[in-house]
Amino acid sequence: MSATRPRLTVDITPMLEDEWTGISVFTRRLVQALERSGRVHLDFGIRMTRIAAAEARETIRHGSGAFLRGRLNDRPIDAFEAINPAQPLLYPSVKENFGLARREASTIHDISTLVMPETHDVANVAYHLDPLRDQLTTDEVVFCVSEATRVALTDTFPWAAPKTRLLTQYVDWPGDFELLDRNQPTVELGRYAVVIGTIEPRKNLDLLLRALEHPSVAASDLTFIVIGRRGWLADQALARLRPQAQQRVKFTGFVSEFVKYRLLKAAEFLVLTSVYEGFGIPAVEAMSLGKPVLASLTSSFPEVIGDAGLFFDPFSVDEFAAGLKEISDPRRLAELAPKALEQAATFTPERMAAPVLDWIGA
Amino acid sequence: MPHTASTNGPTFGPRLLVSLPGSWLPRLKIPGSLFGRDALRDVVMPVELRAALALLTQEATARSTSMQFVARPEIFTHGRARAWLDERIGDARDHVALTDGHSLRPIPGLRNHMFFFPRGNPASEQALRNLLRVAPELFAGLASQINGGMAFRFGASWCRPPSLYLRLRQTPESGIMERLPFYCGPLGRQGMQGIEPAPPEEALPIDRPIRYIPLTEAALADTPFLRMVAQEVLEAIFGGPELLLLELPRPEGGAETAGRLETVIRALTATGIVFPRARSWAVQFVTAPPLGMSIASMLLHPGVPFWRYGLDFFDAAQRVEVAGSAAATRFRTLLSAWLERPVGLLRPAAAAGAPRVTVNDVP
Repeated sequence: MSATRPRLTVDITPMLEDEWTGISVFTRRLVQALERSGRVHLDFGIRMTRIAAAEARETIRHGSGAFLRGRLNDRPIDAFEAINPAQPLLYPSVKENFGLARREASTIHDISTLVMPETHDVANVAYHLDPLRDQLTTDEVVFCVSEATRVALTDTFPWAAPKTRLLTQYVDWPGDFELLDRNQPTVELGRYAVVIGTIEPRKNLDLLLRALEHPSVAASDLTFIVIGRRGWLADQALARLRPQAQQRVKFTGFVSEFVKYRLLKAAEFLVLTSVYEGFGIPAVEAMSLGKPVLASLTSSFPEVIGDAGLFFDPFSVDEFAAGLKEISDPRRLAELAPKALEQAATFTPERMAAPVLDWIGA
Repeated sequence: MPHTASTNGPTFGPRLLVSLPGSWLPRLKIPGSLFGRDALRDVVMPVELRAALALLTQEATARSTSMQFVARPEIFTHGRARAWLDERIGDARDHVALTDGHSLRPIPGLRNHMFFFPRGNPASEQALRNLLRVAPELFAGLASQINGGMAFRFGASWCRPPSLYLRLRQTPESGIMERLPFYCGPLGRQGMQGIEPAPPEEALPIDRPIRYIPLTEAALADTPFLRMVAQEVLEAIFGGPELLLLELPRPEGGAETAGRLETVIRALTATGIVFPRARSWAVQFVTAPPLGMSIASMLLHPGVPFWRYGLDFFDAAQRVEVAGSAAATRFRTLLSAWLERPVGLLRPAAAAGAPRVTVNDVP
């Protein structure tokens, strides 16, 4: 059976990060979804060199690339083996090298570095944009993490449209979280909404902070737990608020997946103020726990959240306040909660693996 | 009343959408994704951007076109978000993307017009070239480029989005015109403090024809052009017939006269041409264009945002010339079409000194 399975090399460079967020987790989920399908034999690469499957799996168990990176740094040059150019090669993110394999595919998460470069640092813009044309040209298939990304990409590069496929990810809370959560004391933070994001401009957290002074938001008893680092920009923005309003927002800093799980599970709903997203996995995380989402009407959020949330103009404090009032109503929440579970359930490992398997003919 | 013309027919439909570069949004207090001109009223902005907005506003007013701003056109990618936008913009068919060169965000389905406003700013022009290299398709699909003459090779063919010429009849106010004597030497401890402007009540002398040269960062970075200007400065200082007025550039974020003056002096010093260590009123630095005066001639570098001057100013010039080490011929064509009058081309002389050595790649 396994002899007939097609082989695929996955570039796991994103998993070299110490702390896995965003694309590292996406890569891990992609690998696990493909392995779970049982329809493909995976090989692994980092840039142009092969990585033993055991090392890749061990890295996934660690949930950090620190060990693998250390080991690679100590490895003598003659111990490296080139990846097999005869088998398809998939990049879960940017493709920095071209033509290492005869058939290549890469993944576009968003084109924010092209359409809103001012929200990124210069090095990040160059990292994404410098190879973009070659990446699209040499790819046999271009995977896009949402329809929003696909449309944005192909509106800019219409010639790439026939190559594009959707590759949507899923949420996979560890199985023991539910039990562990039950064994912990109850989260006692009163009525609160979780907000995911930092104060960086693209995340538009400033809208929430400004909204705290809005009469209807000020009258609400809801607090906001922001999962994300509190930078100096946040301090600046908070300093503009009255002390009562400042008390309504709490920053957690970087938290473990389990703490995030607990905070989301005990929350009323999730707030996403971002002005642009490639996908928006926090929305699926919240929905998978039955939590509706109050999100900006932008890019991928409507397609990811569907009917399990409410939307607002990301530049309108009034619209945000109105949405907050509506979603804070317990009856509305009760209406939306089952839709949230239903919507989250549409994002599965099978759905993620399918377009890749289809590409390699598995 | 603006004077508006285009090489490709009438301009905009009943409603016009305008977007600003994303980097400007944090400076604005906007009520939502769509907003009116009022949100920009008290915002401090470069003269080029202000002039670009003035051009669009007056064009819209003249044609009874309503104007609406969209904060981030790129977020309305598809589906519900795009439907929301379409519902609110109604019958708008045209979108002007005011770009700083770092991004260009057309709205699919609309006629997109690009207005690159920081003409003459080297960093912005470089950003535009980078963007062109990464995504030429964005430019190839433009309905027009406003007051621009950009052309590029894309694959096997040349691409040049149609030019759309917008002109102001009157030059907008860009501050009080201060006049300072020419000086180019060591600045010393006092810096610019020792250089006093002419008293405001003292009018420009009318006994000599005026030659006007607006300087920009791009012009200052163009050594052959600057050498040519330096030669004209020397001629004027040593009894030439013309009074030379050099408009100080406005480096990004540096609106102070002292800083603007220092930028020019450093650039002129770097040409290696030696100037008398004395102040001369035969050549004057000015902080704004002299409006309402007859000008004998005007010399423009390709890096000048020429459209920020109104037709009144150009009409006051008997002769308009361009010069620059690169793109001067294309700029002459653009400016001549924009002004609808002949424009002269001056070629900077080759630098004196030892002949240049060219080495081929064969060892």
